[in-house]
Amino acid sequence: MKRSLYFIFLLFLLGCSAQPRPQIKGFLTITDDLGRTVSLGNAPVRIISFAPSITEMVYALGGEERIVGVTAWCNWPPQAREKTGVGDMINPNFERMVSLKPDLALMIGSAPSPLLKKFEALDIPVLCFKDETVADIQRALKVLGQVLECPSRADSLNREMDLQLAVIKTAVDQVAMEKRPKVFAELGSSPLFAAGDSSFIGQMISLAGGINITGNIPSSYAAVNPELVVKNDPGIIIVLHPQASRKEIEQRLGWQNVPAVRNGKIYPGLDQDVILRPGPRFTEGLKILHGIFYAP
Amino acid sequence: MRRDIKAWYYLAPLSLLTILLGLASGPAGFGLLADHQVMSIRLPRVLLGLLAGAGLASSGAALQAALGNPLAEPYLLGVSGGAAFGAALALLLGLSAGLGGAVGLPLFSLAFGLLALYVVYSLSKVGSRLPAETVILSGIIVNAFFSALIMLLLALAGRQLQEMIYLLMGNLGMIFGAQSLYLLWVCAAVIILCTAYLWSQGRNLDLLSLGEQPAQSLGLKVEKLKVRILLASALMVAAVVSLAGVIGFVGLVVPHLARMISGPKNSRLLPLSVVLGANLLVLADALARTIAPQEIPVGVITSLLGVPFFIYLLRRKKRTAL
Amino acid sequence: MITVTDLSYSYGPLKALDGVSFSLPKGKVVGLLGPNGSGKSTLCLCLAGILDKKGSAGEIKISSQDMGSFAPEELALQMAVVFQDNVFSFDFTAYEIVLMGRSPYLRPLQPEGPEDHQIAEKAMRDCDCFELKDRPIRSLSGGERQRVVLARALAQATPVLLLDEPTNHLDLKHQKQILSLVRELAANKGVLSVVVLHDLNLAGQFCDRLLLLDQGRLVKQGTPEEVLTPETLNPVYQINVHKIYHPVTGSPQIII
Repeated sequence: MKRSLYFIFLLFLLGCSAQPRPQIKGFLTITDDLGRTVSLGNAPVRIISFAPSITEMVYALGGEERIVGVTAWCNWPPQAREKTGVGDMINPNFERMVSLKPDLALMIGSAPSPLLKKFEALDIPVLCFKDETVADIQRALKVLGQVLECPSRADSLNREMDLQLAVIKTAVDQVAMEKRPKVFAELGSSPLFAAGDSSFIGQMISLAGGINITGNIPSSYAAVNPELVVKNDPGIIIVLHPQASRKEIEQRLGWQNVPAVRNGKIYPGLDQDVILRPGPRFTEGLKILHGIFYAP
Repeated sequence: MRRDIKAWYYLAPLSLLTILLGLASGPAGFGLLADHQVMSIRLPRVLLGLLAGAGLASSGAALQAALGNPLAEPYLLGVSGGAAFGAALALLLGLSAGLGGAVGLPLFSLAFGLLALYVVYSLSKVGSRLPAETVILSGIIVNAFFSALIMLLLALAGRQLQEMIYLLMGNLGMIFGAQSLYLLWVCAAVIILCTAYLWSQGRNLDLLSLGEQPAQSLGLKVEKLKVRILLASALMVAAVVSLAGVIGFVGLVVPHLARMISGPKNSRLLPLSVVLGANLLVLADALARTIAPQEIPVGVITSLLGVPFFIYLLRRKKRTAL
Repeated sequence: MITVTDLSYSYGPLKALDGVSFSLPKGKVVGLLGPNGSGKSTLCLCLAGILDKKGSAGEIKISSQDMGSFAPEELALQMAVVFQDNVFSFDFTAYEIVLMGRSPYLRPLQPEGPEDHQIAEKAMRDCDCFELKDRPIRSLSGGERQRVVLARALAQATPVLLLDEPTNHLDLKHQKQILSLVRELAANKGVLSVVVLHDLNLAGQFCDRLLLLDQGRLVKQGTPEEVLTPETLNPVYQINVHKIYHPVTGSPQIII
């Protein structure tokens, strides 16, 4: 409540100070995923990344020298942790960000965040990427390739992704829909949290050839009633949070007859970062999931 | 025949219906399903609903009598907020697993629920009376304080964030782990014992509601009794909060409804409140489970029902003009 | 019955009672008089054993036993109290309120017996409020409530009654009725009543003894004849009063 008031106040201030800015002609003009036109006068060399997935992309493109700040969640590659932490998009350490004198901020989201507007007010360019689908990932890589002056590297990364996707798709396509395993992806246990088809993990499950039993929940993620799991008979349970152990799941009331529990097909301790993170390593996650779904 | 006795003739079959409806509702399909696995998920949830509704209602009724204030309620008085802060703190400290979950979390919510109650009590006491207005005001202040503390915890929380938020919204859906079943038995014992104690003090609650001086002149050890009653109420709220989070307004609405039937005599009011509260919460949760495939927090539903009722009470109070 | 020796009471730095001593035998009606703020209510609360012990000095004995040694439930069998303000938060019926006077005799969960109902009913009839028995207490007028609360005190059936301005809100008929009732209890059952009164004439007519307080001190005690004199009253009330005698009862009356 307080925070939203604060933001309203902030927006009000921004509204007062917004003036037409002179168009800078120079290095690059891009339209980002929010439809904003962003002009960069020079090639950016002091970049703050606001998402672990974006950080991974910049590193994959060989742009690590140009990153000056990352979020607290940016843990891959391990060297990324040595960069200056700037909080995250919900709790940003704004002073530290400004003191890094960034010339570009990279954010994710499908709507302009308050933080984005704050940067705009300071005339620091911001690029905002969507991170909901595989196509989003590939487009982000392409744009970052231009920004980091390595478009060919971006293209080759994207081609590599296409290739690996095709391999899995070919394998999956051979399996009839009704033969694909029913999967429950557990994202939290108090309350029980599940993902819908529109979420990234929902797409990952279907790409890897599984059927997400909570696919029809109306939002990307939601708390669900455990009886939904019991009713839908998942053959596989993947546990994407650290709180639940195999034993705890086996002991849950009424879960004893769930096929996944009966057959010991509960998978805790998966690498959540490659499975849940819409970044350049998602194909690794896909391979892990495919391996689980079609284990001999 | 006495009205409250007559009411029991309706309430007994109604309660049975409520329990059946509770067992019949859920996203897996309506009805008493042959799938006993689904039923073994629903049964503890209905039990929790019965317990939480009963506990909140009897604690509300007891607080109203003990403080001589018909607007007293664990949620409005900040007791629930304090207990929720305690529970959230326990979560942040990692006390939710193993023995910590069964003992640490309820103890933390009890400690802070009591603290909240004590602060409201001492802030709102004018002489020997607790006027309605100051009680409500102090409740708002204490609630605001604990909301701020809870926000602090939310800001500090990492992976516990989700759990904390659901704790604050009030939700009966957390009970499906084997471990939460132990907690359910502990809380059942607490709620049954405390309610039985409060019921045994029915006459004394009547006397307390007259005010401290008359109550003492009628032979009550006022301070001692008040402390015990507040303690029992806070214990029940803490038990409910540690299993189901913050469920508002049950403690306000239910005793008032019951009082319309039984009159204010607490020996009649308490059992009626307990049964009405249990019914109300099980029904509200049945609704919460049915209207959407996601879990709708039952606290949202009780608050949506409770706020208009509260406004109605305030308006009526204004008309009878103190 | 009640012996008070050198009783003082202060609320923090404010001294409300200052070295008050008196002794009251059973079967008497004792009026407690004095201007506003003279310490009447404080004395009443001290006698009721309700005020915090912290501010008090001196001793109070009831049936030659130190008051401090009574537990509240024992004291409730010795003394019933009617307070000045009676606020009700819930709509008990008048009868339920009166029946609460029987609670010192009952264990938790023990229902009231036929005897308790008889006593409660008689108390209500004595206070002329039995026809109100099923009415919610908050729907009653001030005077009606006062009678119900008085009936509760009577239902307590104690040897001592402590009444803080019981005639408040009452019309003339009921003022007379209540005070006559107190007299009757004194005569028939030996009940000692201590009554705080503002009306000096009612005091003169119904009390056996009067205690006159001023600024926390007991300035005069004695029969109405002795206390109700211009010489005593003028300095206390700071006006000039005149004394006459009631044409029928012959009791002293004060007019301005």
